[in-house]
Amino acid sequence: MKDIFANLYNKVVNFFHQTDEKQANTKNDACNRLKLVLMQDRTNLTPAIMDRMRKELIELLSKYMELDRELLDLSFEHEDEQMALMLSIPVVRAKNEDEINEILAKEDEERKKLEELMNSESSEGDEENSVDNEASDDENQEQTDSEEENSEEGEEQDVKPELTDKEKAFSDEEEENSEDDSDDDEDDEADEEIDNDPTKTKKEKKKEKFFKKKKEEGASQEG
Amino acid sequence: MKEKLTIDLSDAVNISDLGIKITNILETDGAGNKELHLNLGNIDLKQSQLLSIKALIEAMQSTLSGVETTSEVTEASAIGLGLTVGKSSPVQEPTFAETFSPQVEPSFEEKLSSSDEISSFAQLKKMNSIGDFVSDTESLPEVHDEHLEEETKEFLKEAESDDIEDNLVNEEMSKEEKVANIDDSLDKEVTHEDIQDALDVTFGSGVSIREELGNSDKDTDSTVTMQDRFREHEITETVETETDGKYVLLDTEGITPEGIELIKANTSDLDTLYLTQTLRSGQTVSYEGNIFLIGDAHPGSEINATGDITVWGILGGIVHAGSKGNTDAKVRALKLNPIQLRIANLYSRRNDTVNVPYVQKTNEFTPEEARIENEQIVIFKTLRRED
Amino acid sequence: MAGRVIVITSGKGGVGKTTTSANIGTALAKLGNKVVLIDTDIGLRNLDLLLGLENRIVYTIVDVVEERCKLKQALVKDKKNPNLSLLAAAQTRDKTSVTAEQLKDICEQLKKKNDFILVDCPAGIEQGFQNAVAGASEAIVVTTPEMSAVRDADRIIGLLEAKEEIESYKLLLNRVRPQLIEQNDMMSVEDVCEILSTELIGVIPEDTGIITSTNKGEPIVNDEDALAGKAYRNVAHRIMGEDIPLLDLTPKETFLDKIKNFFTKGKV
Repeated sequence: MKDIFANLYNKVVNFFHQTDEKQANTKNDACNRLKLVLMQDRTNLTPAIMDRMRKELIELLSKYMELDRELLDLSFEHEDEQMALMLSIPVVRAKNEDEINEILAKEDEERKKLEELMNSESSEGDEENSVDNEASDDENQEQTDSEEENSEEGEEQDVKPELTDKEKAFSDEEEENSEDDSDDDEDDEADEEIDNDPTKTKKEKKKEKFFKKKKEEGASQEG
Repeated sequence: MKEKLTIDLSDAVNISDLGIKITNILETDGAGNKELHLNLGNIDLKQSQLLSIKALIEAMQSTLSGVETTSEVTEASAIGLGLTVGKSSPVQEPTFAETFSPQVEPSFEEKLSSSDEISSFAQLKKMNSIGDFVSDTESLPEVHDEHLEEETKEFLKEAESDDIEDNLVNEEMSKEEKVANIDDSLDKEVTHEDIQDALDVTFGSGVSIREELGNSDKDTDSTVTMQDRFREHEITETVETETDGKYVLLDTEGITPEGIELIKANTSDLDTLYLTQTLRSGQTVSYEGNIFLIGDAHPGSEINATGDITVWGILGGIVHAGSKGNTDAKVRALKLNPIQLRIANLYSRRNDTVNVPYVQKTNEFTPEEARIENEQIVIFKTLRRED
Repeated sequence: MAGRVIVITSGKGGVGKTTTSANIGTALAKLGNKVVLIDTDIGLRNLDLLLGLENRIVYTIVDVVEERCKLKQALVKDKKNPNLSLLAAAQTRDKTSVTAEQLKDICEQLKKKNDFILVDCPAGIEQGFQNAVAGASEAIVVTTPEMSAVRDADRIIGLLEAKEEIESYKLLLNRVRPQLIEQNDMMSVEDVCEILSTELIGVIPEDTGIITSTNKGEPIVNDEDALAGKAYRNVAHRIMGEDIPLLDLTPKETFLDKIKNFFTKGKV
């Protein structure tokens, strides 16, 4: 009997609490995950590259102000035909002029050192030339990482033509229109190239927008 | 001379209960060949209901000679059917309480499971038939309580799910016709199978049997015109003008593949392709000769042969026999249920009202053959035989 | 007469392209338009089943392309509405049986004598999709408020934008469950529109009637009472250029319902 009452009590309590519990909903999860996935689909940026981009942006910005790296939000927004990169990082503290100058001076020194190094080890050559001048030692490692990623990406791209090859083989078996197929393949590739081009230019635009936004945020934080 | 047997059924609650009891008694006795005298108690039976019981008994190779009843309705029905009516002794008459007390009876299924599989299936079919019949009568006698209604519903459900041919119920077939069919068949000496089929036809499948039932010649096929199962196709304008004069089209629309020339050739001279597989949707088999498929042909599959097509299984797809114009080609299957059936230049399709894309698999099949007869596709239903 | 050729596509399978094609086609025909439905899902045809015409198909699109019959012969008239006809796909062939050029040609021919040509596109973005889109100048992208469907719709929209022939495309949100949206467990109509930034042509609620209507081989638009049927009829009106507000799908949960839910939830 006790059990029954306890059960009933729980039910009644749950009944009135139902609406509260539901606030931990799954819809927002879906929306957020979807936005992230679509951003990757649209920009051809893999999660690893996105991560790297984020790191580099933080690296760059933290020269000028102190940021809360944990609470960083990076997203793309779709406005009409244009995409905008939205980055919001809470600014912990604005650095004063001396600090900034100090860091910049350090950086210049490092750059000089690097250049000297490169000149002395020119025999090792081409690989190091491609290294970003601004990059620190840590970032050198990241560079190699990203090269691996790039090669992985290359593999992924290779997979697509293989599939179409299979289709071709299939249609050859059927003795039908293999020519048409190959034509369409070319079309596809052309499409991809076109797709890729605008994103490159868009990336530049994004950075511009991003800086604008950053400045605004910084100003608002200071104010 | 038949052995006389009196069965006391005065405790039966309703017609389905009667049916179960009769079949139980007749099957368990291993009997048959009995002349039955039934004590029906006070249950009200319409003539049609009594007739179905009579048919049931006939199906068990016994005859019904007379009944005892206290019900006037039943008495009138019995007289209408020419049965002798004996007075039931008041001692045997069940008390009111007995008749209407909620009886805890073994369920229908339980009873069936007691007998072996095939006989239980047969039994089920018979019960279904009765169930159908009950549903045909518009109002049920007053004594029927909720219990009966439930049971009737159960029967109907089972009738729908278990008996494939029930799906082909021809609603236009009037009750009178059914009755007439039975009367015809009862006048002759008939075998168990014949009656079984008659029952199927009368209550379930709705296919009209053209030739007289109950011929002593067991090999007689009963014919079913394609019209029953396949309705005439609305001929589109273009097709009509193009086929004009080329072929005589009666109930089926002609398909006129380019260069088809109608011939009548013996298909037994042709090569035969044997296949042992299930033909699934999207799969096509085409062959110059006969095709013998051991397995089912699912809806969406296609079989084309210049000769005969025989499917040892359920034929559900599209078939075209005599695809090069051989009007002598035939299509045979354990169960014919094609979306479209084409022979030579004739084409017929499944009726819209028949909504059975997939035939349920059962242990009981009635092999059927489709061939061209009088420039019309006709399905011949082969009666089951006892070896 | 120059008919409009509309392709109904989605990318992802199972979101209701074929159901949508059958229903919009029937609804448009009911409004007095001459409509031809083309099933381009060769090898996996289903549109005939939804319309209940599976037993009438003698010739298919492949027969037309391979010149075994005339285009007019292959058009199967609907049982109820003579304005509606179906050009069925072949079940026993594959997507390579018809080329984009051939489909375009068929659409051009049909355009002359019909008001609407609806092309039911197969799932995926391969040859089948390319073929189906070839003859069309408008597109309806069907999606559901699920992540996978929305993502695929986004991809399809990207591909449609790249096609010069496609002049406009609109979004149709299918299988919407107002109850779940209310509970914040399903993306709302606004969410999906915002994410895809595409104009909406209709919202179809999830309706069990769709299943029964498929069983019967009769599109749900013929059911005057069904909500999904009404939603599809509205879509047809919108396609014809009428301005009709979206159906109000907000669940009307009475206190009684709440109590009912309370008890049923306890059981589970």
